[in-house]
Amino acid sequence: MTELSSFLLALAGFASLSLSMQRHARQAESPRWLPRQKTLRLTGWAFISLSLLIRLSMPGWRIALVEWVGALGLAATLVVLALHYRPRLVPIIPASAIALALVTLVLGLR
Amino acid sequence: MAWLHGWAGLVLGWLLFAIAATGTASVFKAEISDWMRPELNARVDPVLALTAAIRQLEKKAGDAPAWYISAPDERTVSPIAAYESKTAPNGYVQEAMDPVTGRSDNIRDTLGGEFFYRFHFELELPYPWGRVLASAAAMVMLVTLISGIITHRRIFADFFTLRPGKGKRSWLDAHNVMGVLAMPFHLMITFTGILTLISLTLPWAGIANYGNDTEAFYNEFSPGFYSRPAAGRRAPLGDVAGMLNDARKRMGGRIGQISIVNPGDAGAVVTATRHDGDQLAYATGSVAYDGVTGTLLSSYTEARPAKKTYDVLYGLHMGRFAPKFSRWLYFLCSLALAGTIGTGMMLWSVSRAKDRKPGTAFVERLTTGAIGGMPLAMVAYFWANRLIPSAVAGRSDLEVRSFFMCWGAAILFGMLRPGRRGWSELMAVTAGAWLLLPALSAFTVGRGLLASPFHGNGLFVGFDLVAITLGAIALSIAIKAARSPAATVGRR
Repeated sequence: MTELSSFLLALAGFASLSLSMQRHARQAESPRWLPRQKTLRLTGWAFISLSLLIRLSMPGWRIALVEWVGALGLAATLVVLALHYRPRLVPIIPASAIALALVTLVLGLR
Repeated sequence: MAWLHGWAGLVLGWLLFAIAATGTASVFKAEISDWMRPELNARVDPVLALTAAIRQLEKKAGDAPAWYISAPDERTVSPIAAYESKTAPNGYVQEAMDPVTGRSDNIRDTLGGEFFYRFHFELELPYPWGRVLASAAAMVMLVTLISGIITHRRIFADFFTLRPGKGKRSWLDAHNVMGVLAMPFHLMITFTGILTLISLTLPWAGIANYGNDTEAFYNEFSPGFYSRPAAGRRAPLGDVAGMLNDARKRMGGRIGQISIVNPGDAGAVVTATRHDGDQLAYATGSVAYDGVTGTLLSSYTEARPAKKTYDVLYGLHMGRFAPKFSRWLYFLCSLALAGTIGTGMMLWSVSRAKDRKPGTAFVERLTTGAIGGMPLAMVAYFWANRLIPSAVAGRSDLEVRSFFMCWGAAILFGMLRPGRRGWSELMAVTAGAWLLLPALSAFTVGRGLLASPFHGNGLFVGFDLVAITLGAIALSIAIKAARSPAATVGRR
């Protein structure tokens, strides 16, 4: 399950990072309740670092590292596509992806 | 730098696209092979399948100096044997075998996914020219990657930027997004690709240390391969299953392939090599037995740091270690690499569309067929597999020929009918071929989405789903190219 939760964290990270940029914030019509751009940038990087830590915490870190790099690309691609085809979805991605990641983590640790 | 990026990419772009596309297919080499041999269905313990194969090889290839057999695993059902044969047209035979009986006469003659894999680095050219050209192309690829990173000044500012429907701008965005988001993969696969052929392109280290004694070089490079000359006395093979089961225990993992040198001779040697799917490194260990008595001759695990590093880099390129999730990531990233090359070629023509120079027109026309024709050639290979009857002699060559004939026809078509129209028509045909493939397969073979969606033929159903997805993508390109204003795709 760590694959999935790590991927979801990366997704949350990239969505936050994209919203921290003026151009994409406008594209996604960022709602007011969203944190300030500086906060978004910090949390974005934090989520991505966390996604790496989770992945490396399990046995078999060599293959996990390779997978993580690939998953990172997939997550970023999804954010790019969402920004274009479903822009108003992007502000909801971070919170929902984190929630899902927590659920999968808890289910996996059981 | 932009100049270098554009021209280096242009010169070998068509070839690089073909290499990337067949490389993408090679990620699923095992699955493609199984799909192309639909007669085989049974899953058998690898050791049982290997011993069944050996029993048949004893009957029909007893005089060969050695047999090499790859073991079936969770991805592929059949053992595949290779051995020298005086009667075969190119001097050796490579054939898939029924995992239960070991026979190969009831299986259609096909190269399966092996064709894409071989084309990926040999380009159907005679040795060593195909490999030399492929490594030269890989080196040019590395140059374009690095010059591309330097040219692209706004990697972070444009990280998420994609603006469709804006002509040249959109091609550039697509090129950048696919290039940047999978950049670690692109750099890794290009660099490790060069390394897989390094003994060919940089042979001097080996020559300086070993001179002409290539045998000594190879023996030290992979010392696990125990070899000894034939004794000249006939003796039957001993309990091979026992040796293989012992090898599994000693290596602590699955068997990837076995070789039997001097079969039927008192000097026979049975060597089992560890499966590549168990670890990142490509070839890590092997165990050799006396083929007659079953006594252990050597047991080797790679421990030299330099060779281990090389094995890991090689393994990264092959991606054999990858479990399901990362195998799909490999597939998607290679697809992105092919897409980066393809959009780069389009960008070259689109930015020069106003020049109306003959060279520009030639590039644009060649790009249509050489790049747009590749998915058509690939699906033609699959169609040929389902349409050519099993009894036809030289069947596997015909399959390969239909790939090249289709590619050639597409290139010719692109030359005669350039621009949006050519693209749209070519993509419409490609879409039709991919979308009808599941129906064709259901008619001729069954075992797919239409025949048995819920009966455990995951591979066949998955193959159909991928075919439909690729067909849908081609269809959307066909519609887009037909509808969009002239600016989107290069004007005539």
